[in-house]
Amino acid sequence: MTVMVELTDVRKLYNGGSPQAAVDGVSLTMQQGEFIAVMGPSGSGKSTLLNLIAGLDRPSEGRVLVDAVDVGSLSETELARFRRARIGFIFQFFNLLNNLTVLENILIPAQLAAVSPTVALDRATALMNGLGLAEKQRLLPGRLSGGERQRVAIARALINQPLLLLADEPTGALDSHAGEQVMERLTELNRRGQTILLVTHDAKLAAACAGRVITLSDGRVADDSRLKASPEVAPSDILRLRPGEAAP
Amino acid sequence: MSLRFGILGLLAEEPLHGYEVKTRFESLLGGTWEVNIGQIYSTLQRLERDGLVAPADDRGDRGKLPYHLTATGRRTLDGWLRQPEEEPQQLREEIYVKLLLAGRLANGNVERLLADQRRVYLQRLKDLAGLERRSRDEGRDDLALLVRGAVLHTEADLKWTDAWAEEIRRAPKRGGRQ
Amino acid sequence: MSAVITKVVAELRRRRLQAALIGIIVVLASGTATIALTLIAESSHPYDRAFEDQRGAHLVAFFDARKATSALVAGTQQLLGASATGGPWPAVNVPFKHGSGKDTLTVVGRGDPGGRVEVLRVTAGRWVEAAGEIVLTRSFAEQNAIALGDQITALSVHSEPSFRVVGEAIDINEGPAGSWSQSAWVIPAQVDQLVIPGDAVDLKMAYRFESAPTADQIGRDITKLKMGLQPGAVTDTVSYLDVRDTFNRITAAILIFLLAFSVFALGAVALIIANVVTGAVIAGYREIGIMKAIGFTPLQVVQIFVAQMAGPALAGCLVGIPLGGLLSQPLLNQSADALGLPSGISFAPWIPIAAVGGVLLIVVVAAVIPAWRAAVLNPATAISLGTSPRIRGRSGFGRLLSRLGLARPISLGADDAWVRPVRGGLTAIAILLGVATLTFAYGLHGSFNAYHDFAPLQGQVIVERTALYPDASVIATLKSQPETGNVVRVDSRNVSVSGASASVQGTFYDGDSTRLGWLVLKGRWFSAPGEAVAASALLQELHLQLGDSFSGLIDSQPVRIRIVGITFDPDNAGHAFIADWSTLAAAAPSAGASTYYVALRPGTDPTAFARRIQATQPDFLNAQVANFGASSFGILESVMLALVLVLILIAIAGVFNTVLLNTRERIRDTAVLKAVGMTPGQILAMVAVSASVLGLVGGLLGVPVGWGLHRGLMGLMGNLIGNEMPSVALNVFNPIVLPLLVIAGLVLAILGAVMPARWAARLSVAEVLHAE
Repeated sequence: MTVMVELTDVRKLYNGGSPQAAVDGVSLTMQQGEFIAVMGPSGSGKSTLLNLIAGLDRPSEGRVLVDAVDVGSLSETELARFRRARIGFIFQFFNLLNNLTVLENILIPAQLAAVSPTVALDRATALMNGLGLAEKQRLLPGRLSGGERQRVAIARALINQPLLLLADEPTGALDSHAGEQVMERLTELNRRGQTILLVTHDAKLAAACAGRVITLSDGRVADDSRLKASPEVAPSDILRLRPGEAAP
Repeated sequence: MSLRFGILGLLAEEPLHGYEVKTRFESLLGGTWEVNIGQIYSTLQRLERDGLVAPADDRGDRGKLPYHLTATGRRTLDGWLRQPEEEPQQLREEIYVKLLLAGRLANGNVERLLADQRRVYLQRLKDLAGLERRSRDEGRDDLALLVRGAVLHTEADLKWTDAWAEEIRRAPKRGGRQ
Repeated sequence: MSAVITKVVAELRRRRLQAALIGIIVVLASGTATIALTLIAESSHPYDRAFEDQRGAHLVAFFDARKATSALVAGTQQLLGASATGGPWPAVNVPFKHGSGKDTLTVVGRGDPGGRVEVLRVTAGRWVEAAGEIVLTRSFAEQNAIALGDQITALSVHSEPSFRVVGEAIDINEGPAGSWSQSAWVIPAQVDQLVIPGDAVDLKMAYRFESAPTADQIGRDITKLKMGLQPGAVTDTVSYLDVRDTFNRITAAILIFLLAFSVFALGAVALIIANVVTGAVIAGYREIGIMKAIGFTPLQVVQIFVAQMAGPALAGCLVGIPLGGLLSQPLLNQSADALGLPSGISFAPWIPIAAVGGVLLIVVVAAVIPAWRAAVLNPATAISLGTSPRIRGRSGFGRLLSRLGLARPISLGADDAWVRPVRGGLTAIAILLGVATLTFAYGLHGSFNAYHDFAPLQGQVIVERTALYPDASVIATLKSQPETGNVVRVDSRNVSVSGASASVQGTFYDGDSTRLGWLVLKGRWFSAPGEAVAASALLQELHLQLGDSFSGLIDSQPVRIRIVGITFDPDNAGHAFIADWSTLAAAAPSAGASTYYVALRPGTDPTAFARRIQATQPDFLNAQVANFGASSFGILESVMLALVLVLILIAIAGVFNTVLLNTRERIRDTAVLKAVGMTPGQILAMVAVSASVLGLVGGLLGVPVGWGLHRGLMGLMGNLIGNEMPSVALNVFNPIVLPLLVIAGLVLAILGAVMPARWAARLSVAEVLHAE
């Protein structure tokens, strides 16, 4: 099993010189194929942690290794190249480019990486088919529902076949039905081998999808639990209806 | 209470005898509630005494007595169906008591307890989520809704655990007194 | 109201960069506009004021004393219905030697500088009281560095009497020395003594009318004079309009440019402000909605936006307008000096008020229109627009480019240029104005350089003789020089032409005049007696076509002249013609050349040659190298350069602002692109391309506009000097340079985009996309 992400005593101070740390001494290791959910209340540092792993921010102390590369040592340009080759990103508010079609949105990372247009188109088509977006490929994001937009974002994140998929509150802006669909996609992706790191405050999302839930509090790891998936669990093991008191 | 009205509701569809009531009831609730046949029979008797159900005249095979709903029973059922639940919120007492006591006692490690409980809730959520999905896949949307209720309750419990932990974090001294 | 003010101050503090930008462009534009306004207002003003102060003569006429008596001349007042007259004063043309220079002055005998018409303002010393004293014009004395007490020598008579300069005066009826012949004053009795043997005294009369006459009226008055007296009695006339025009000629040219480009500058400012406000409105939709929800009325919202713009604009005016006023002084002083007005800060109070008012009006209108649209939205709509801004449509341009195989950042950038078409359009127009100005300046420079191709007498030496030195001796001296190539004898006469408002300057050449350097625009050079070439203004005034003839009087002899060619002759504002000596000889057989044009053999230094000729007869000859007034070009070119700079700076500021707004608005998208792997270099390229598209459009449109302007304004200039501009002055656009000018637009855009592009490339994704 290869180590995908390794954080060693990582600290990140708040921008603006406050002595408080957003991430205060976090060490963790993520294996290839894992699905980790990072939970915690507002201000616990989970988004900052995600940004550090993605190379969108540099640690104040400590080392962040992604695919054995020290992310903190790369220049902006190198980071951009690193990101587009190895990391896929899904945001809470989709962050699609509103004046490009669905297909164009999906193709962007590939075009930026100068992937051959035919190869890029093939990958995009496969992704759209898999995500049920094929008929909508010429529409603008404004015409799509929230769930559809997030699916476009997923396709965009996957077009360069990233080693690591990062998701920041992916269901935060969706209704429960669309959110569940996203959950299912992510689970499916992980089942096929995609390494996923998910940041969320939604406990159900975290528990349902991830095999490992890390809880942050005040920038530190407060808990790191492994969850088992047991498809054979009987309902009565986990759910009992309580009979009411006898009627008067 | 819900057993009484559950039986009334089942009998509203068609007359049933005791054993049928048990199986149907359990099936309705997707196996989440295993009812004692004796409990069914005693409830039926009480319902008959109150005039809400009545046994059918002819006896089926093996001497099983089918019951049916009386007019009064139907009215009572309708009345119950229309009313929202106004009972006070039921909380899990055991964990609450456990936490309170752990907070008081010198050897009580509240943080530890909370962390472990949290883990339990997370695993529970995972299992429940899987159950909900399987229910939908099998077409049992009503069961899925029930499971959804359980999920929400578990989420609430989890949030409560977090709130408790937050409280302790902010005022660690206060946990011991009171 | 205090709520509005509080909000405005907060906004200004927050958007300091934008406020500074607006301040700067307003400084530039208001300064330029102020200079233009000041020049318009003041350039004729001082002259008119001085004219009234000194009771200038609307018309001055010279009469041959042999043909009209003093009493007769005095009686012409009634003939013309003039309300007041001055004179008649005796006058004669006398060449003088002063220091090392020689000039011919019109000596007028006048005992009293005052009177009812043509009051002379004594600016130094005193008036003449005795024989041997002389008063010069101030501009003549200044130009030739003659001080009070100096002696100058009259060369018209053998005795060469010298005169002591006792005073300097200003004659409002004369132009500045150098472009207008000057008067000098002595006691009346001495005039007779200075008459060149064989010549006669003239009587000078000055007329003033109730109301200022037009050019036509003056023309009719002149005709009345001529009709009322013996033929040949009237030797010369001067209209006050000609004098006034001389002052204004150069200023007028500068004025035209300044006006045109001030309009440009103000227009560009308006565009930029409209852009800025639109951007601010778009960025502030959500805030506008909230403001309205908490109780600001639509009017107050508009006030806030307008005040945000008007504040810095006002500050810009406070700097720019005084600056413009100060810078306009050197230009004003040129004319004021010649009029003897106190050359200091002359500032009409209405100008700064008008300038501030005008600029603020433009700013307010440019701001109100977009602000009003936003202010009338209902709060809910405004907030929802602000939270999820809708950027309409997709640009086919970008997709086209990406299909052509261009890298993605480039096609994305191309899209960005037109995402907001109004903003892009306004910016492109600002660039257009900058490029047009640059193109025009290039053309102007080319025209000035081409001047050498059509200015006559380049590199030749002009020799003048006094009447005492024989014509034949001059010819002998000149021909004896080894470097002499060709000599042309020249004399000129004022020719009275019926139908002309003033007398026409006729110049007559004896010798091979075809190689003097005169540019023939149409037709041909004269080759027979009675033929002449003229400037287009003359033909226009006399309503003649090429090939037509007109009649005139030379020395009271009737002549008939046929115009066979149109030449470029700015002399006398185009009121001139050149003909062969034979035409003059027919009317005045005893005429002798007063000037000689000497063309030298190649390789000869004209200055040395001129000095040598001068040295042979320092008293009687005056030799100098021909130089036809290219000095004024210097001023025009510097003014043009300044204008180019102003417009270019404004254009760059416009692009800067637009790219800044775009970058701010698209900051989320840019962060997302960075997150999915766009390198900082690619972002730079993307922003640069979006600006470049606008730059190219502005450049492509600006070059033809500038070219058209060049043609148009050159034509106007030509009208001013009474000549058609020769094509060599107009066709100065080297085809290689034209694409370079278009690229200049591109460069402008990129310069403006550099800083915002770098900011975009450097933005922190984590900060922008911060979810928590």
